[in-house]
Amino acid sequence: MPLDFNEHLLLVQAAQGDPALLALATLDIVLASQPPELRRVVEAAAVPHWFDETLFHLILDDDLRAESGRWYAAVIALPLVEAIPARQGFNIHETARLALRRQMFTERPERFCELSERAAAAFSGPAVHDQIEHVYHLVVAAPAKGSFALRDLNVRLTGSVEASLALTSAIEEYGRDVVWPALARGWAFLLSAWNRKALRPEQTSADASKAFWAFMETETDWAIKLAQVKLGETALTTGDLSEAQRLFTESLLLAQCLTESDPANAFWQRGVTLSLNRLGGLAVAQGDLIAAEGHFTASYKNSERLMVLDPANADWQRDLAFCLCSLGDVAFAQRDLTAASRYFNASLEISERLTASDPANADWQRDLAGILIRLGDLAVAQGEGTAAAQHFDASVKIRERLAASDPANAILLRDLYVALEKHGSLAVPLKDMPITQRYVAGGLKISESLGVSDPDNATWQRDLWVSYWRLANLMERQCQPEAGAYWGKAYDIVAGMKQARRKWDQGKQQPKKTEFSE
Amino acid sequence: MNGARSPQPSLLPAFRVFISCVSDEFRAYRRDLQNSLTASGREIKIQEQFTDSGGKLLEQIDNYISKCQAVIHLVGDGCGVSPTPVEVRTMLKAHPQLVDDLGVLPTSFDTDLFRISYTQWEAFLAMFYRVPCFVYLADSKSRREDWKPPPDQIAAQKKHVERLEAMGHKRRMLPFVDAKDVALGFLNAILQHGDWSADEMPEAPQTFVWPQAQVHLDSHLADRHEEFQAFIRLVTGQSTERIQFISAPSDRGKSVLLAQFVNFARRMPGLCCGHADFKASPSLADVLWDLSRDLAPLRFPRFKREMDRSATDSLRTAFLQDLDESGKPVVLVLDTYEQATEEASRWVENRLLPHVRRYDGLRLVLAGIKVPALDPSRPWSRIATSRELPLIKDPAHWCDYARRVMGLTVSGDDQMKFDDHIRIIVRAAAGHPRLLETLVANLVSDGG
Repeated sequence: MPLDFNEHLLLVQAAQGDPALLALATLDIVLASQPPELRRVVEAAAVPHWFDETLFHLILDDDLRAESGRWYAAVIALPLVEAIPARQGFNIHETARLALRRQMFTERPERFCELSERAAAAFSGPAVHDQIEHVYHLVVAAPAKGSFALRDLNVRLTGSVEASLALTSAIEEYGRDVVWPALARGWAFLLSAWNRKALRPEQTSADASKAFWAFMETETDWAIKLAQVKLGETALTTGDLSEAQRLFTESLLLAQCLTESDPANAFWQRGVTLSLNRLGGLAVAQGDLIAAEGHFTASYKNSERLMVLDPANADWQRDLAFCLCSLGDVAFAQRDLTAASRYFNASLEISERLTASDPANADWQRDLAGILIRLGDLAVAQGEGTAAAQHFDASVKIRERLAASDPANAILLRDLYVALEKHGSLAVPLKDMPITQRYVAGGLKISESLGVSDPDNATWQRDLWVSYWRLANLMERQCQPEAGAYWGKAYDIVAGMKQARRKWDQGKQQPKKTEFSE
Repeated sequence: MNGARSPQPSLLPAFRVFISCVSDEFRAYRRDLQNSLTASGREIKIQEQFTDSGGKLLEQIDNYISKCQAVIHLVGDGCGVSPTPVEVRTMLKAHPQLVDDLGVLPTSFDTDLFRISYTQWEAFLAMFYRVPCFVYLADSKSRREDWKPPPDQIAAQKKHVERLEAMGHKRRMLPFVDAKDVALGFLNAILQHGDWSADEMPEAPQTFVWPQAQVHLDSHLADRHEEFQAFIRLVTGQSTERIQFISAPSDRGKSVLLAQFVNFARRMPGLCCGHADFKASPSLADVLWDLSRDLAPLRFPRFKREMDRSATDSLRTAFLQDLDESGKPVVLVLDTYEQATEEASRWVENRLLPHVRRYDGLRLVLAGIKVPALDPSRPWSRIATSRELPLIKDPAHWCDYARRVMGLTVSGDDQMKFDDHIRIIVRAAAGHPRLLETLVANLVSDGG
């Protein structure tokens, strides 16, 4: 029944200027003159981020579905509904949608979960945005099941930064309000810690911590473990090695408990492998090669067990290749070249098999290029210059292609720089120097472009210095007059770095001076 | 490798290269070149690979080159065989703008057009699709002494080189000694210039003719006259600003205002308007796709090619390159910026906004709850303005809205009573536009 002026006024005044309540008041006023079923229709439409006629039909209540076409026409004519061109559909305006979802969840949770379940089922398409929408509903309708689906989807989206961020944005809603289930809240924070770490590094630790405490509320061990690992990684980044050690050890113990409780669960087993790898990496950072070897060996054995269970699984093969490569690094650092060679070659064999099975997989290509560099270093240490050149050359070719596929990606460009630099650093007779010089010049081009893009990046400045130095050296040995200019450039870089260091040191001392003067 | 996120896309896009040359003249070089360039993930094609399909060679070449990342065009003394007039007409029917676009070809009424050989078309098609075309000219060392084409072919090839030079390709025409020389030069170009495809772009026109507003138009909203006039100044070239940010909390009517901007811009002759929305965090590729669809009269050859490859960064660069080349004034209207993924917002702030500053033919309106902050250290800030849509707390604007937009016609006591009601609800709703639009509409439908 339409409301009169005074009733309108009462509704609006009750909202007291709160945007969410005002949006609900608008909805009440709009719906007052409409058939009573339209409220249920709007509730169904407000659950998903967007809907088209097919999705709307699937989410609508059973008794209304026979006339879903009519209800669809009615709902999209409402002033609160907007078109969403990217999805070729419509959505309830965000403020009203969020307010309505929250109101339903707090006041009528069964109704909300019923609609969310239907929405999760409706978004069953293979498109990334459908998969994201599916887990967005599932994680509140059935938090335990939704958590697994969320974790799996995030893994599947690895490699597409945009898709991962879209998933993070969609789930973010649950982290903004404590009314949502703790698991959903925990995921909102953990996804943010995982997927936004490069964009908001300062936020990662807080996000991981919030995820940890949200998961603790639910006592979901495996999710707690994931948050702990993330916290450990953050501690490692900030240089807090003992905290990282504690968190990685705890996550390992948790993963081992989970494995014991469900030995057939490959995910828990992989959790053991990943925790061991992190502990191994940490031991390397601490210079404890014996401990590192122990962790990587245990990880290797665990990966091998997984491989036996499912030999075709590419993830297990990749884990195994990583363990072998890490063991090779440790052996190399211990100057045990025979063992290093054995590990690197075994890792190479797996990587080659993987890349042959899917040459378009960039992750595997990058792994392969990394192992080839290690084999090149090993050959240098063994005094086999020709073999080293072959390995570095093969790595250059792979990295050249990876860099060409994404020319703005600084990590890939630096990968290529490293491979070119390695090749350029090989000792060669005078007649082969022009070829070597070409590699060094290629590396210089990259280090120059990276250096210009971020002059404050010390690693890139160092790369630039190495390139100038290397080129000057080669030119001088070939009696090329340009050598002097490159020596000068190398000197300028070093001088610039020293000056930056001085400024940085002074900056660090500044607060002390202020303290003293105060 | 350790399970952490990898920084690159998990799938490597294919890299397609077409080697274009007269087979009788350069068969051996081409074979060597093909062998030198072959690498995992790189697809190298030559004309002969299409000839078996019969009758539609030019169409097949056209189709393949449209998807290529590079064409290597070896130029010697001969020009090779020409397609039939039917083939050429079919191709021109598919690409009616081809002759005009390239600027150096004979018109479709000129029989010279039908004398262009398949190999020469390969170079022209590459340029039409903005595929980087590397032209290598045979020199005294690489020229075949044992092979001489008929004199008419020599003349036709000379004309071909003149046309390539007239298209500004001279700087890219390099002599070659042998196949290895070409291969090294080509790989070096790929390796050393990440943005080498940009070289294919002709110089962008320096000045644009911005359309004039033919009639006085105003918004169909309450109290948004100022914003509307600022938009008109933006798209008619009457303002030094090129970027407009519109920010406001939810429910202030940003999207409704933008929809009116778009509606207005689309009615202005000579102005192209693209409208897209970051709502529900679509991928940037989807947003750009929406814009390219909206801007349909403009060509997006590089962008469409990169869509096939799913190469993220190249796709974004290709969009801007194609846009620049359109030669027409364009306004992009982007909404719901707060829902853009960080990846998308980084691109907008680091690539699109600086691009608008550099390129005079582009204007941008960006709206959202959050918009980029104006920062004097960022040069694009100097050509941008940022407006926050205010609440509309003055009842006079709503009275005006009821009459001007909702068509209310009351007078005397009724008018006073209506104005009173408006005052009360404006105060109660604290000036929130969406709610007030609903309340005013209800009041009007109740007869004031």
